[in-house]
Amino acid sequence: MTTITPAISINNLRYTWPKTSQPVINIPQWNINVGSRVFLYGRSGSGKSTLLNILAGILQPQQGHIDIYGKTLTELNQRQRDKFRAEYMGVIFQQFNLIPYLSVANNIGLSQYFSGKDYNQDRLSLLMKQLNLHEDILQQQANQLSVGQQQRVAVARALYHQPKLIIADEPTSALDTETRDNFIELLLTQCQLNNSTVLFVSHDKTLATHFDQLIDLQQLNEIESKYAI
Amino acid sequence: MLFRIASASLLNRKTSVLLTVLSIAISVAIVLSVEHIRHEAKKSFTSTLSSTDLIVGARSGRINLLLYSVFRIGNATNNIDWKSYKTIAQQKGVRWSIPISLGDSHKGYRVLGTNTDYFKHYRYGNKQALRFDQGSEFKSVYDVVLGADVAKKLGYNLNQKIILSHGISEISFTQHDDKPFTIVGILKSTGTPVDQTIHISLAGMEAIHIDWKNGAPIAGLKIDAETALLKDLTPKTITAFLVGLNNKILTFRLQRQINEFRGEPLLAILPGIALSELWQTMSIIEKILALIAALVVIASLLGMTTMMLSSLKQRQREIAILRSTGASARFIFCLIELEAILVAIVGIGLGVGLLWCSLLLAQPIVADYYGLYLSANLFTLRTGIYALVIIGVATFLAIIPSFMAYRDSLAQGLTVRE
Repeated sequence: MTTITPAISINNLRYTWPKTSQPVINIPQWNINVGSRVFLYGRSGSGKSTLLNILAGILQPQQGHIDIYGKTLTELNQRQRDKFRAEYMGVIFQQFNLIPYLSVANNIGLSQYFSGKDYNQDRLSLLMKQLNLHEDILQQQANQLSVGQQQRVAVARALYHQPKLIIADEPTSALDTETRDNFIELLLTQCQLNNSTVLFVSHDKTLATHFDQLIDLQQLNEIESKYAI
Repeated sequence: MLFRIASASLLNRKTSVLLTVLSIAISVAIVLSVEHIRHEAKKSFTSTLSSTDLIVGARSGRINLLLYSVFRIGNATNNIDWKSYKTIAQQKGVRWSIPISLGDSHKGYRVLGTNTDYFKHYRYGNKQALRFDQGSEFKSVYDVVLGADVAKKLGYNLNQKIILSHGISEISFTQHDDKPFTIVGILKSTGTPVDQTIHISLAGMEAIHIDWKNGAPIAGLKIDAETALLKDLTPKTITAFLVGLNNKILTFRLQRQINEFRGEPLLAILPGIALSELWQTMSIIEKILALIAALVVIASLLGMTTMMLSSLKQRQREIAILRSTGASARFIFCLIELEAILVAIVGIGLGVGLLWCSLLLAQPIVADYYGLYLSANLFTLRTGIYALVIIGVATFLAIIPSFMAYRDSLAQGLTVRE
């Protein structure tokens, strides 16, 4: 056994929604290594959203431990978890990732602001270039961009503060097949450059070919499926 | 960043935000105008009479005496003997006195009989003396000096002749038409009841009543204007008189002396105290107006709260994005609060601007018609306090949507339930 700290380490995790009796999450053991690219296959109703909220530190499980890069998330209080998320994680959603009325620059600036990192023009320029985004769009309002552009800006924001963990929740569902594959490659390349661990969640198994590992949430999560949401 | 997001978010919802801002602006304009006009009216009211130490009349109510002697409202219950007046006016320490004789009118404006001491010693506002716009004080028995409003409203000019009516109702059946008066002077506007007064000499007052007794012409007795001049025109009675003293310390002593006057029952009042007593009696209306204005403000702030609440549903995703980039639930709470405060501040600013403009527009009109000078200076400590209170209430009410956003952002997190 090696003693390398895993990116994510889950032990005996249980989560039950308030006013219900059965847990929706029950994961006895799960590790993700640093720098790995994990495809988490989750059908709707597999407890996917709940798990992501727990990993992001928004929901606090009733039982078990989560360690992220050696930090025990479940021992932190609400504010510490918010701070931890800002520093350690980049989150990309399905479609609407940007605050529509803020400029692209301000949208990217959000992660810089909350993580407390300094503004770095060179880094931003490089990131924009690598993501095929023209710098002219920085002052545009986010809702003026195409969906593809928006998703790439979302990647820029998720990576700008150099987080150790990227959580992507169906980020390609609004894209067509070709742009989708390009997008995933772009995302993975960027994460590799940044040495970030990637947890990619989707119900579309065809995307799994881009990743090192495929995990089926239904096998991981030992619950009776009728209780999950 | 918080401010940038809040302002951008508000700009993004222009229509509903603008309407809310407008409703707050209007309510702020209402509350401030009630407060401002109340303050200005009180200032104008209490400055009706100045430098007068005592007002003396026949014994009746204090407010009644003040009303008829200063505001030309109501009637005296009784007259004062001319000899009593003379006795008191010659007391040691009395610097000046102004006799006042009331009871007649002209087209609804009261006629006030007095002597030239009136023009010399009467003070209003900040110890301002009466000044002539045209002409000068009365010199002969049938001369009349008009207040500014009387001349303006009735379109009178110097040297015009007017007929006085007996009694004080606007439509009078008994005219002193045998003894017309000539306008010899018109006073400058003062913003006090002086503007609505017609001034004649006590001799003139006596002359028009020389063939009268007990408020009616004596049957069969007709004394024409010329003949009347030959008679003794020293008044037998007056209605009231104003007293100015050499030394204010004497005020209470003289007041007691007058109140204990042996010749007849008299009443002396201190105008400052009586004016504030009278203002007190009107304070109920003032309070009701202020209450209504306050309720209007609360209603508009509740409207703002509703606007904020109904926007929360549409903003779930935006809040989820903020949370995902690391915003704490407290940040979300502060965001909604800041938006409410910004709306309130802009609303207050607009409301003050609105009121300021309308005051500038209304100023000449109000001064013309009501003799009330409204200053447009809204930028006072009082306005500041009102603004702070309104912002405070807005902040308090916005706790409702802010807390709901806070709670939802904790429970729902990164996912948006459609």
